[in-house]
Amino acid sequence: MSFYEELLTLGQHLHERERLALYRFLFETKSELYKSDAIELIKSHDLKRSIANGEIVYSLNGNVVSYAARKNGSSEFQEKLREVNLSEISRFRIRKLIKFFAQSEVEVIWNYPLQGRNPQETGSYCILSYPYFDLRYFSNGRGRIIGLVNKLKIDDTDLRKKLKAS
Amino acid sequence: MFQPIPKPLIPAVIKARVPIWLLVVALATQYAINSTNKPSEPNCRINVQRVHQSTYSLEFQKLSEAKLKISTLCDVPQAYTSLTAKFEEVLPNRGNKVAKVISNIIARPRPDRENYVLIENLTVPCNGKGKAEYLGQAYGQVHLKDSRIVDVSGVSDIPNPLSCRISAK
Repeated sequence: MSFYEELLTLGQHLHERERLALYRFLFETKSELYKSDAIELIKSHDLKRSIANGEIVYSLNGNVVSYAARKNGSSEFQEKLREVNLSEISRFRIRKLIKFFAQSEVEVIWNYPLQGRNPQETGSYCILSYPYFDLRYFSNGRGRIIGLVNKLKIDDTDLRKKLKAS
Repeated sequence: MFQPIPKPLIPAVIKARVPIWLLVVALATQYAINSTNKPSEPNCRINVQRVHQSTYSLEFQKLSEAKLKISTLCDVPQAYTSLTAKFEEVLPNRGNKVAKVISNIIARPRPDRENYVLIENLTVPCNGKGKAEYLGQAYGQVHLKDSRIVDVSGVSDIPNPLSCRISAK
């Protein structure tokens, strides 16, 4: 099993550092796919995708993108798990959507992992309020400048190397 | 022979001019109006369980991690719970030291149990050598579906000794 496949099974045992590395990995390796998904979402306003043990439905209403998710086999989606405002300018809009897709996938992997060796308890759907593409994530909401400084201090090259090798 | 009529010691109750049944109806109506106008205060409780080490992860995944489980329960449906959680190391005779803070957690209830949120995902690596005692602490707000907000806070009841240490990094 590759390191990436292992991360898909960890769920609640996926630590903060691994989640951030996973986000960066998805953003880098799937950006072309996410770009075509973004164009499709802008055209159709709805998009269905799946990752790990979850299904995702993205919705675009005006300038607001949101996602709903459910565990595979569940009957009900949990609506509006995250909402983000998009820019009016098409290029920035697509770039933000690419980040939003990577963010949403990490959250679904965290909450709805594939069956692995670790037992998963059925808790509530849990996210952190600031996404990884918001500098306030790195400062726990204490401003973007502190966030930028903290972001530059993060060294996750070991995890990203392991992910790229997988 | 003339006998005076004895004066009653307790004066007779003055007969009510308003019929009793009308009074009862008026009181009941007033009570009904009051209870619909003023919704009762929502009641939310938080439960911070003891910090523990996941033995299963240690045995099968070689993952040494400390876990904290937190739940909130209200008597009305929740939209979401937003919390900050802390792992605190208990220092003998020197108070507590914050080992790890996880801020801005948002957890939404499952559609089949809207009054209850259970946060299971709070795990942090625990790779330091030695033993330490940890307390869990959490504070934040429960956002109800009817837009009201209830503050909640709680601490795990007693510190739990772990055979590993949470790195401050």
